[in-house]
Amino acid sequence: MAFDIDGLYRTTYDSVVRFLYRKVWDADRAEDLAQEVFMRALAHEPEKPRSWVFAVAANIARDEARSAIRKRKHLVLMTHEPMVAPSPNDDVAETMDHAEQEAEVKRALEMLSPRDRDVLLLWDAGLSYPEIAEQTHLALGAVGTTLARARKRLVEAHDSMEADRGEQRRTTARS
Amino acid sequence: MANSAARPHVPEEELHAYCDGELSPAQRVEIAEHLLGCLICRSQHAMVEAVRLRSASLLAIAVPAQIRRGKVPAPPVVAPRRRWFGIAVGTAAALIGAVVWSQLAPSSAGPSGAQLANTLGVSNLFGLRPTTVDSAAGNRSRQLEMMTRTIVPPQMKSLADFARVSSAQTAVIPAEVDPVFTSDWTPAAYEDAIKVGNGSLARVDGVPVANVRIHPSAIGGRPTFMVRQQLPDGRTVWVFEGLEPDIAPVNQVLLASGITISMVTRTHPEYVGAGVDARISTRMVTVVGYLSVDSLNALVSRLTLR
Repeated sequence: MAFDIDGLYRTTYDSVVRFLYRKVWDADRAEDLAQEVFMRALAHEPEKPRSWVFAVAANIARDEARSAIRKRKHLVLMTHEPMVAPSPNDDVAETMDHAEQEAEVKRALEMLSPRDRDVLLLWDAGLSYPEIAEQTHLALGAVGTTLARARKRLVEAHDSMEADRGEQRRTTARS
Repeated sequence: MANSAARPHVPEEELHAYCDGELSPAQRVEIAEHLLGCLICRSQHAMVEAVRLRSASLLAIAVPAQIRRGKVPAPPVVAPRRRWFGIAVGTAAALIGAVVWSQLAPSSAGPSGAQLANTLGVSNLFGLRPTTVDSAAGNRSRQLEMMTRTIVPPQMKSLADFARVSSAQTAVIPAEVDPVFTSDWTPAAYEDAIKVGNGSLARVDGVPVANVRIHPSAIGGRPTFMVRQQLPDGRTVWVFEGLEPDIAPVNQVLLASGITISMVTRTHPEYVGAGVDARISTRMVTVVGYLSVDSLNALVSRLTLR
């Protein structure tokens, strides 16, 4: 069967970007890396394209994380244009609220073990249990257990952060 | 039904697989029948479903804006060999840049080459880097970089570096009062401030400007600007913009005040002074406010120079 890059791209691009974004936490970088993943798919024409692109995305994200540690960039060159062109429909307060919520989800995800996190992100990207098992080298029966644990820990970590924040607000209000 | 009720309780992970649609049709039927007759498993099933939905909704928050807006770029149709074309073009541009740079770059004797480059208007074109910034400014830059990492906890106010900051400045300042204010900060209308800034002034795009204060530069260059902006919910943020040597002490005061400071951005290098005293400096920009650092960093992404 001929390799259908258009079909693969249409059906998995969003999922790949989401998956990469939750690894590198930089929207533009996630899109660049996703393009790189599909370029490689175009060159390799894999037999199981769907699980292949996520395997490659996971490897690329791992390499990216290593290099990001080496060159952490806090200073950004600013040109005479907005660095990220905001959508005219973007509400500032909404942007800020979203940034706060996203930071909490990021912290909650970081509290999971790498394996739990990978399984959870792969499931959310739309992979089936057998595909996740193949990619993570887990036994098929262990995928459900890992996923159940990962979901529970994510929710617990987030709840615990919310409780801390509520406590901080109460303390601030009292003082 | 009696058989299904006699079945042992469904393990939690199997309920996840059941909810995820990952079981065979026969297994699904078996569990569905068991759930009909087992109150404990029905309750467990409801809990699993709640955790599934909650985790999915949390993950849905961590989605890039482009995807949220539904913007998907065109699929890659570029054949791999064209990537070599891109590399070749990049290499050629780099070589041309290097040749021009070798002609224009300052010698160790002084900044004349860089000045010439600036005069010819090619500094931005070839991305000239600051070469005559003194080491103190470099240190300040690193200091600023460090300052972006975390909000300094209150106990750090006792550091010797901040000893000179008065108790009034270390107190938490109400949002309606500017976080840095002395008589040196002159109020100015926004349009006037833009004129003083030679047509450009950093601000958060899409947020109304309440007022502007200007502080003269200690090194005779562009002044430092404090642009106060009012968010739709009434909260205030301040955009501080100034040359690197001027903004560093301001940031120290801000840091000591306990207010939150965003990550630092900077503009392209600019020349300060003239002749042999000319130095390259950069404009540093921070967003400051009584908000979380994540919120402020989100606003940094909306910074613009008019």
